Amino acid sequence: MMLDSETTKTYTRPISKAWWLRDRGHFNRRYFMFLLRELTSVFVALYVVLFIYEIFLLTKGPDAHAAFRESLNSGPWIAFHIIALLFALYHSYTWLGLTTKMQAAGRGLVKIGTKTLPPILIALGSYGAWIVATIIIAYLFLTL
Amino acid sequence: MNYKEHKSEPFWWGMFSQGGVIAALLIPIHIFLGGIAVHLGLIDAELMSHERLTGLLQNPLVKLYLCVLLIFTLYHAAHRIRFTLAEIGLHSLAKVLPFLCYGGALVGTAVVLYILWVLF
Amino acid sequence: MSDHKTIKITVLRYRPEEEDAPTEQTYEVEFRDDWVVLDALNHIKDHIDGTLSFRWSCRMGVCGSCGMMVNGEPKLTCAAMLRDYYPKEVRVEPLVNFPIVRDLVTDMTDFMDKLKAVKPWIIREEEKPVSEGEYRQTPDQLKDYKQFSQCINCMLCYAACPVYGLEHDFVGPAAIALGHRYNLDSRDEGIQQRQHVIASKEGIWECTYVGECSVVCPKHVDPAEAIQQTKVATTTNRFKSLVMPWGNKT
Repeated sequence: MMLDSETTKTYTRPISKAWWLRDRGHFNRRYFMFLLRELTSVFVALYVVLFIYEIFLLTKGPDAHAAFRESLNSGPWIAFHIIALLFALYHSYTWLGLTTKMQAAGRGLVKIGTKTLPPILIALGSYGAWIVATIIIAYLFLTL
Repeated sequence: MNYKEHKSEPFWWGMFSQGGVIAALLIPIHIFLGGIAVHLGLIDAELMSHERLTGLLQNPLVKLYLCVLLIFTLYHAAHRIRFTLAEIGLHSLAKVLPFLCYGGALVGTAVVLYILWVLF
Repeated sequence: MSDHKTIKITVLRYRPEEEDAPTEQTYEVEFRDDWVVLDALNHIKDHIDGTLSFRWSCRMGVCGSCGMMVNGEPKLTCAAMLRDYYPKEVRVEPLVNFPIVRDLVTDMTDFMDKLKAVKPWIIREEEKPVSEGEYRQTPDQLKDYKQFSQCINCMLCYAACPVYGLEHDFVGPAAIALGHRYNLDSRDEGIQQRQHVIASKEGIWECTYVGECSVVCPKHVDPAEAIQQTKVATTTNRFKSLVMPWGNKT
């Protein structure tokens, strides 16, 4: 139905400000999980800035770096890292799952010849890459 | 509505998604090793000492790895923070947020490059 | 035969000539195991209150007219079984994010404009004469876009999308998915005529992949993934044209 907006008195209920908690009277768990997913970026940013700061301190000599390391060895900072790790893991889980979902819809992303590659292979590939990358970095860090 | 293809959004989104992949694959293990395992005594504290880390940073491949890891994840975070801020109430600032967020990532890029390739 | 079970249906009502804002009205109707929410609304209209307004047509999930919020979720009321809610009451509201015209009827003008803007039809650079026959397509080529062609324009995805709720200029899930459907069609040559709409600031770049559009879609179109695929393709082409400015832009 097309309306003449001049003569029709319509009413619009605006979206709630905190829509991820309650939108027009209803709670949607998926909106809340979406916000948590987006918040992973804040923890990634904080961790990366901390990482850059540590590299900077390395140029300031052993004492400055040792003092920084000592302050990280405290309850609040360990708690921060644990929370940041949980958010980072949630980011990995959702991000890698997304590629699989994209492959499963319509044409997908990767085609071999005329056929769309089965999404399960993308899932194995992306979660597999995660495990392999984790092992390689841990191995290099511990042995280099 | 007069629509126009946007020329810079694909660039930012490209950086966001590359950074997203890198963060997904690599950030958890880094947080675990340097922020948790070493302090809980799961790995030798010497691994995070000044001598050890500066030694690692003599290797240009390590420097290159850190550039990729830190710079791309900054753009990833900047892009997400830009949209999240707009969605949780700063919608009226939607035009300013890209400058603030991507500007922060650009400054971060310069800082990372300066520390790794000039100071070291 | 009748065991006199009843269910409460609360409807958000809006009568613009009488009131400035919507109000609630609760009806008590007989509960039947095989009724959908739309059956209850029709029962109210036929037997309790003839002034209640809502849209419906086919009653079988094809026409896309009867989309409403049922207990806060966008649903086709012809497919929402009362027994899934019984004995709790059911709250029926007009689709959110659209202006309410009367009771459960919303104004869909905005969606219609956006749908038209993405040119959801096959575009050829040059039409071949009918005598040369049809444009042929293999089953694999059909599979590329078939899922995205199932849209019935019910607009549940727009009601589910907080991005559209916050930014009404957003082209939105169904319109972008339909544009994508034609871009993926081997018979179509119109991608350049859609790209300025789909890849505009108001198009794919506004989407933050909440993903709720795909959750509520009664036809499993998966608009969220259609948008992500378009972002990937547009970004890839953009970087290609930056690296190889002389290359063909497609």
